[in-house]
Amino acid sequence: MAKILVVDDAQFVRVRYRKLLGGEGHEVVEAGDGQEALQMYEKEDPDLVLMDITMPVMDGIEALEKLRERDSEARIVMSSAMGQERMVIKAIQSGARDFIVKPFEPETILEAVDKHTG
Amino acid sequence: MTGDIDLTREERTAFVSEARDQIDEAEEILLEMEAAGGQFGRRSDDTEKLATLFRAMHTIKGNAATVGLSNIECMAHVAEDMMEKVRAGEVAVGEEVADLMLTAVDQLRDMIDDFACERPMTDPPGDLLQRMRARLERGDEASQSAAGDEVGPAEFDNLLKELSSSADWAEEERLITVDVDLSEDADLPAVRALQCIMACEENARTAASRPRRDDLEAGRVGDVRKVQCLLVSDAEPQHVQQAIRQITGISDVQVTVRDDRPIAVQKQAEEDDGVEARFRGNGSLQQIRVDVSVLDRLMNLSGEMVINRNRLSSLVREARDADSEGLLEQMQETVEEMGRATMDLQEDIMEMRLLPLDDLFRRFPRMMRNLRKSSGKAFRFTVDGGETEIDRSLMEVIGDPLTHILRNAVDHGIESPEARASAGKDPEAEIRLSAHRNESSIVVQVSDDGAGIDVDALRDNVRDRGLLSQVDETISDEDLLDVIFSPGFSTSEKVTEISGRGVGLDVARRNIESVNGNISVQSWAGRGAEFRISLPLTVTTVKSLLVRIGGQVYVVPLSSVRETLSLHEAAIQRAGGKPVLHYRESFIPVFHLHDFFPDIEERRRRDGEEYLVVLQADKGSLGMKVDALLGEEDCVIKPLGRPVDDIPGISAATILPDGRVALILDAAGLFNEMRSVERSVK
Repeated sequence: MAKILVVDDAQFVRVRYRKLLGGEGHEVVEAGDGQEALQMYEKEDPDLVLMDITMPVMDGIEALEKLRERDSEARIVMSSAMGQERMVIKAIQSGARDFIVKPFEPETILEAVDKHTG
Repeated sequence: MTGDIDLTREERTAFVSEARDQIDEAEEILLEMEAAGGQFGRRSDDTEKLATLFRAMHTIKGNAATVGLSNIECMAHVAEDMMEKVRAGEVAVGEEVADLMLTAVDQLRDMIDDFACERPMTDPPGDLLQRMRARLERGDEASQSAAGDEVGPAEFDNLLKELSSSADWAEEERLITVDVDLSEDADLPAVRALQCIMACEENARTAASRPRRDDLEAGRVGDVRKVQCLLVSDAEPQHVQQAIRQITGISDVQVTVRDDRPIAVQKQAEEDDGVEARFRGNGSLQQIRVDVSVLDRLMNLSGEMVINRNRLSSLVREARDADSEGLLEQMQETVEEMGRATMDLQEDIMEMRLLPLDDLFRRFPRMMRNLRKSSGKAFRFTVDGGETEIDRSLMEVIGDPLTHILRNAVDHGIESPEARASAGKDPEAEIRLSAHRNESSIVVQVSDDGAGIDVDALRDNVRDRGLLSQVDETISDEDLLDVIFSPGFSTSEKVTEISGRGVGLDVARRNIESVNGNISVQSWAGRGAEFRISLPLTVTTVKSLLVRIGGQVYVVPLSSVRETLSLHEAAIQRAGGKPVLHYRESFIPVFHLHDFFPDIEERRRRDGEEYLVVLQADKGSLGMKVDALLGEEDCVIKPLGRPVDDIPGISAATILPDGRVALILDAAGLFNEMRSVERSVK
């Protein structure tokens, strides 16, 4: 089972992740924005980061770039709302492993987690 | 010719089997296309068929490239291009295309066979490639405007040529094409496409793609379903494929190593031919496909058997230690459970061995088409009951006989259109291949509405050749027809010409009887003939009667036991110096195995204790003397190996419950032996 850092400013989304991933036996740690994500990454050394693109304080793209600077092997899957294609392209160019488009089905998340932690 | 890719036996097998399936499927559609001529493509499912054809060629091409078989790849590539043009409407379907494609498919089949049999590989014939390419170019002229703004196929091909002729390649570098299909439901397909291109670039020194990377990054490409990349790379194709498979939203990835790379690099591949040598001696490449649910059941059953075996051995240990009352009962219970599991296991395995006869029948329409062309005869060929399932080993047994019979039906069975017309028959003859299952057997029939076998001519020839004795002068038509299955007959070309049958039929009968099946023929003068092959439902076990003869146990399949009699009740008489039994208003010959196998001890008769087993063969009954009847048993059939696999009267062996080996007797074979002994006596 994997340790997963979920980064999203909406608590509802984080709770959903925790329920879904926790239910599959994964360990879930949380961060509410990019800044917090960097701290949690240092502290927890997760196997995978699931991160939203649009967040206050530090957005997902910036956090992604910073994470990749610190750890070039960091596995990061970005989530985005619909209509953010340009941002997603940016994220992929910056080294995101994969992306998911909200709203998503639980299976989509679980598949992505399996794929990138397996 | 083989690339530097290490293949496991499974991979090789899978490649061959899949390619064969695809070739069969393609051929079926092509024959349909040929028959429909210019009309093909008008029906609703024709588009799907064209797509299937294209996919078949595409897959063979891709797989061949992965395996490193550049000849197959090259042939499939041209065929794929052809189908692509047909689908795009740039080349019209019709007899010419169908003919070229059928020839190409034949070539592919031969190449695959060569590969499967580990024969040296040959290049596809140059003239065929040339003809196909010429046809493709002609198609191009018709619609030049097809290419749009994006990199067109021509431009891509130019790039390919440019790359492959450049000199600064590293030793291990090759030209690789990557074809990716994106899933219908992929989110943001343009981003997925970008990911694919990035993954390719990571694995390549130089890469080009369609659509182009900068177009994707700038958001200039909206809906994209396919990505094609061209790489100069030293990466393993599997590695590239794996990298792309990691990307979400991909439905298919084909990674192809192109053979058109610089000469210096090509030498590398030739040196690697040594890889081939390692595969030698792997034996048969046959395989079957198994439903996952069947495998699951087998897994469970084998688990159950292991559990019960363990339980049994622990019970045995306990039994040694203590003399408990309940132990025996528990052991009995365990044995029963194991018996159940074993039976289920056996059933599932038998089921796994079943294949639809279509797998065999599929090859015949093509053969008949060729025969139609070469013989100049007019006939319809219909196939029925191809869905009937049959054990795969039986399928192998009847393949050649059916080929012989169908060929003979065309060559000799049916008349010329003129002769038919003057006899008042439909000038177009009918040849029918059909199969069905009944309670205890699978029946495969080949019938034609030709002239039938000329019984009088047959009788004359049989007499002239001395194939039958004087006694047989009064032979019935039925028995006479049966002569066509005897070895002496099939060597006679003269008879074959007149009667039209007999080529290899003796071998056919021997092979079919060796699996406890039988073959017979019926004929109606002026109206046609029918061959009938009947085969057992399973080949793994046979319900049998165990008997003792000369101190040995023999197995007689119950299907051929008509009755058992005590010898002192049986009224054995002598006729013509030979023992016969008056049995149900007729006389049947009586024999002892000693008559055929002098090594078998003929026990002295003791107080009338001997028994007589009345055997029922297809063509009649006969009585076999045995010392004792030992009871009935489900016997597992173990085929006999060379050189003892060809003994008339003995079909196989089995392992008895006590571990001894016993031979399984074959009534039909014994009957034929009896006949031939009678004939030679005369």
